[in-house]
Amino acid sequence: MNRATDNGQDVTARLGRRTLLKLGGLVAVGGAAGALLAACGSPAAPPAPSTPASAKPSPASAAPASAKPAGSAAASPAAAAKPSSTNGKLVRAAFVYLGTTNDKGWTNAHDDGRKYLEQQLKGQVETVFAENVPEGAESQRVFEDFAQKGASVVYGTSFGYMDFMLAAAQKYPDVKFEHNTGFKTLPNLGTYGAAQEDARYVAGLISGKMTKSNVLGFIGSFPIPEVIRDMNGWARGVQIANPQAKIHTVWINSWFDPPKETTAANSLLDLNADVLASVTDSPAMAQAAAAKKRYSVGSDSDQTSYAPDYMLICPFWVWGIHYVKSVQSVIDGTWKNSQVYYHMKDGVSSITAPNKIVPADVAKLAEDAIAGLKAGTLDIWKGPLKDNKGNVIVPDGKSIGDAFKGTPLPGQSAADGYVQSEQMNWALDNIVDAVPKP
Amino acid sequence: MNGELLISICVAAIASGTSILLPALGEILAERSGVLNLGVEGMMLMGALFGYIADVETGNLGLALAVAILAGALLALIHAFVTITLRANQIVSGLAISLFGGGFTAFIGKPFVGSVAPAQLERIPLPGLAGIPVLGQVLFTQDPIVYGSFVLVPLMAYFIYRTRPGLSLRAVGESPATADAMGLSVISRRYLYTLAGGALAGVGGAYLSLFYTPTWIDGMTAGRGWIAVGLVVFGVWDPWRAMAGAYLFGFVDGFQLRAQALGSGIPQFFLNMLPYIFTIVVVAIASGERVQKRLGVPTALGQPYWREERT
Repeated sequence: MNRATDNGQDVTARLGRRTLLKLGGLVAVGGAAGALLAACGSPAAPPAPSTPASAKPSPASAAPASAKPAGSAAASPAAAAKPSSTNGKLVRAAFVYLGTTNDKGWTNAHDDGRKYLEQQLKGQVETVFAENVPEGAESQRVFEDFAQKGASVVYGTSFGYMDFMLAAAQKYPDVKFEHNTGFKTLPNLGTYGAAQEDARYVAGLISGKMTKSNVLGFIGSFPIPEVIRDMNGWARGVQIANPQAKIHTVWINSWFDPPKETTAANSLLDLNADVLASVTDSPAMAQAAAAKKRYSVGSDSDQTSYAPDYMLICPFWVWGIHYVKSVQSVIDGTWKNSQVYYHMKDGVSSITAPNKIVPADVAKLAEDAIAGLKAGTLDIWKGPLKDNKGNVIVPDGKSIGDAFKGTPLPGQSAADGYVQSEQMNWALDNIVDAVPKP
Repeated sequence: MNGELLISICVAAIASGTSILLPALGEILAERSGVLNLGVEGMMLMGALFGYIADVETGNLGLALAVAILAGALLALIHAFVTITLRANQIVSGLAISLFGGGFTAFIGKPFVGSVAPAQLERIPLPGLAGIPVLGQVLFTQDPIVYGSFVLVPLMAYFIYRTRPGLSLRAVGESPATADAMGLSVISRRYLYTLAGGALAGVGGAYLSLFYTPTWIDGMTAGRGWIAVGLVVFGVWDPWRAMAGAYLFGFVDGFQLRAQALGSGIPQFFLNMLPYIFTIVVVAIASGERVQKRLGVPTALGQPYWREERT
């Protein structure tokens, strides 16, 4: 390759300006052609799309999936302004998205929340959004732009926006900011997040009952608390429903790599795993499982269409509940820089109805658990909990909050503090493999 | 690790290796003619998306593959025009095309995210052959595109080394001025093979969106186009060696995930690293100048051809 590179530079030097001019012209022509193509392309009849490929709240590694070069062109704040009335009294809520609004996953869930907000507070709120905003310095420009253009409250929906939101919030102290899945705050910067482990637990109950081989498989992206708590939540459900079942895990070190997710799923299926779950961003796992007539558990938004006959159940998010609450408090003048962590009882962490293939008695088990979670009477982290190295994490009769070393955030329980912290770094004792060290 | 598991890894290795093998074969053609095409990733995405769209709209797999071929070739045409006619830097153009392909397909593919390919390639065990123990299971329980690649590799090797047009192809990549003096059209050959390379990349992409992960998702090739480019160096511009490399890569990739699932106790970050370490080592060995000379790297690779500068 060395040689090719040398030649390349050599040639560039030789051709110099002439080529550059030509290239410039070409780019212009290409741009025009692209625009034309795009114009022709977009009205093409879309097929009935149904579900997700989600983006992720957490680490910066989520960026590659969304930071498409062309995408950044769409990251212009004013792009989707929706002035709904002219009485001037409207509260403007702005949303900054990592992915596209129809990714049928993470961003899609937030955009459904935005639409819900518009509908619930009609005549009081107008919303604007920017999609495909990479988790980088560029996001700060987008946040500031929204602040400048009169937004009362700005929502950033990805973990990697954290420092840039912090900077924007410092510059615009009169504008309120809320960061999804983050942990830094200012007087005008709050955070909001939600526990999907509740829904995963319910999925685990069904998974444990539906397995015939007593071998289940889990595909993880990165071994960080947010993923591990989903894994353990699911594993706990499996354990309660079926103490004999064992779970094998595979980590792919990527949020998004469909072919690799497929290979990972197949490697678990080869071990005779007959129910798979994952915390990755594409539905590849569900498809791979269905191709071998095995069951799967979806995530993030309703993925049932990818494996209609084999997806047992699918946890998903309902962010609209938070957005309505938050904007209402802005309208009422009671907004605070709170740090909320929602549970299933709040409706933010939700789950689809069990698939029709799930027998009624198993579905009942799930429905009872959902009722318990909603009523606040069911604690999925109730002891005794042991990790797979023999350590007791939560003794009998205690809950995970009792094991928390540290101070929970204002308004949050110790259990919330635990599951969001680095202390969530162990695998439940029905999981065969240790959690890799990050 | 038992025999059955090993067989399943091998079956998976061939399937996942094929998605890299096809673009690599295409890249061999392009590079043999002297055109370095770094836009493979973008061309794979074009094939993946447009093959998928055709599949969704018509439900016809043959047509979907044809569309994927056209889509890949179309993007290759841009690269060919920029580098062959305008004689721009091949590396710059290739990189730009990769980025363009990623963004363009993400944009056009928006309405198609979230569905499953209605018509999917199926595995077809070949009657008779599939019954051979081990070998038959590994080689002959695959899908038609894999069988196609089994045929394509020897055909291409024969074409490159044993036929007259193949000799011309090599001549154009080795010494375009000499080829030109012989009366061979350098420009038209380079166009032809660059387009063929794009077409094969398109098929490789469609293989992912119609078979391996039968759906469309932005950026679903996740870097396989780049591995294909590396594989060409690994295979020292030889179809057979590229095939071996592709399957080896598929094997190492599948093996590390299975080793994790089996609870091998080897740190998974190390296992995840394996396929890439392996690629780097081989590329490093294969790029030694003496080795390259012996192996026959196309001498004019990456160089635009200027008739006026014939010496």
